[in-house]
Amino acid sequence: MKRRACIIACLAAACACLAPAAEDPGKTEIGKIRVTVYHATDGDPQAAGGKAQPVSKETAERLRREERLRFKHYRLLGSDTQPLLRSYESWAEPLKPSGEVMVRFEAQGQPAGQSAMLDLELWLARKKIIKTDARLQGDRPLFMLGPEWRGGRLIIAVALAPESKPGS
Amino acid sequence: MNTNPDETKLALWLEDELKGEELAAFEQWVAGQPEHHAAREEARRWRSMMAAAVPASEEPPYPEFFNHRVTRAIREEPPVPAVPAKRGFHWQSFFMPLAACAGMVLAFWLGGKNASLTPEIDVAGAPRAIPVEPILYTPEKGVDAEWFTSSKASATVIVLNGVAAIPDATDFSETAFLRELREMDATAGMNPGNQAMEP
Amino acid sequence: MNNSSNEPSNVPRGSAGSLAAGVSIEDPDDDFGLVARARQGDLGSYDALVTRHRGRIYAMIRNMIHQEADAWDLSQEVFIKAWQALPRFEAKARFSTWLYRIAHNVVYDWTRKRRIESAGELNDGIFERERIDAASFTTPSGGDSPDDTMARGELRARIEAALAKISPEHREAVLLKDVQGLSYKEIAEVMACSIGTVMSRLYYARQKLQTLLKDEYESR
Repeated sequence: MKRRACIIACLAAACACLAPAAEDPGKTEIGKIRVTVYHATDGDPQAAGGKAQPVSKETAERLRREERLRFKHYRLLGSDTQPLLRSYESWAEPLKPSGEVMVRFEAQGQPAGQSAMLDLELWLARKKIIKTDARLQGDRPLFMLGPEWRGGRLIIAVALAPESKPGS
Repeated sequence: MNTNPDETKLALWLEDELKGEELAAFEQWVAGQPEHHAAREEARRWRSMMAAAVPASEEPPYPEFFNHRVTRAIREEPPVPAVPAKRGFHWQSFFMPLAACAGMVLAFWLGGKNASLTPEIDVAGAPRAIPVEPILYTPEKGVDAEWFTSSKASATVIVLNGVAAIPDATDFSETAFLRELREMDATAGMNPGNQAMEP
Repeated sequence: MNNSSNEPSNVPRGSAGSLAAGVSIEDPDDDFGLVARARQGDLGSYDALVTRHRGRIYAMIRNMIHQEADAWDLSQEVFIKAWQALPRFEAKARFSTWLYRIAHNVVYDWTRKRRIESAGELNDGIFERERIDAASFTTPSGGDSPDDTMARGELRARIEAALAKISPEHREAVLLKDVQGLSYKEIAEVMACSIGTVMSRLYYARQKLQTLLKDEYESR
């Protein structure tokens, strides 16, 4: 009786050890990627629509420091944060429900500290526009100067999302 | 399966794989056997049909990008050691491996002795050697991309040229993100501008 | 053209898919020259080898597993593994035959440990093919008349359906012999079996396929 109980306990313990292994390790979340879309224009910022949000002073100054991204006005159109998985792709739709701008990304290897290598695709109007590998660092995003719209251009920013802090 | 050498030759002949003297000799043997000739014609007809219907070669989609990915993966790997030119026997080719083995044994022995004193080196967090320049592929005709690092903006920048403009009539005023922001705006003291988690 | 600030200098550049200057297509002797240089670390020569052989390797793998996206990835894996194994390549075999051998191993490994595709599971409704512009996936087509193309396409579809009904070993034997044109000896090297086994597999596979394609085959 004692021996049987012991065997059952061992089997239960083995099952408990095996249960996590049965989950797909490829679906482990190894980070988060945030995709943000701005409207940048030298014309009327209201062209982006009354509901577009102002952009922080820091972000506007940062974009203006780079000549190719320098515009007089920036407005925030949308953002989406999605998990970066170990072995699977993810899709970000920053202008959801519109499918006008979509970003597909997949991890290339394990992130090292605050740095991650991605396979990244930008889709515009449901067409694949660019496929690239991108190295993102915590303080170093990727800016893509995209299509024209309403007198300006869209800037698509891809960045490692910071870890969410408790209580925020 | 044990195949009779003659059966093997027959199979090779049926597939037009015999050559030279072997072919000539076999042709003499098979001259008076019409069933084998019929079988060879059958095999040729079959191969011809298969080859016409199923392509032996098909360019993979995005062929340039295909090559780029291979090259990138190779560059991320440790370099392939160049194959040394062959040379005659030299005493070093005998003693060097022996010396290497002795060195390894000594190193293991010393390592064992000093394990408790040598601080562990954490390699798990060591950065991988990653090439700086990214691969860019733009499948749409007329679209090209420029890439550069911007120290001023502390960012990597890709400029897309030739992308079709989004019609002005397209409206993004009701994106899910902006709806969330407006709901958060209802909370006193929150500044919507700072809620945009900008890079 | 795409520009980056540090263009690799050792990769021969030309129009898409073009070979490095002075390199002819399908000449085994030229293969050996490129292989010899690649073994010394010349990535440009290896890139030319990839360009030369990627079509055959991709076609072979695609015909074996019928999954275009995976075939694309696996084909790259073949060339990456080939680069890593270059020091072990013996010049007595054809480079293409050696590549088929690596492809054989890669497909075998993939078949054993396939992973579940993510589309539709984690991001429901995002990556639905019908939402995406079909032009994004087009592959250049040949210059046949529409009727010829359709007829060939139908026959190909029937052959592929028939190939799917036989075992991977028999399928591989037929593809290597009747599509890729390898000799019995080369197929035996690729599949790591005896010539007798190849003959046996090929005989069985053809019999089976001819039965499955009876109507099509007898009308020709």
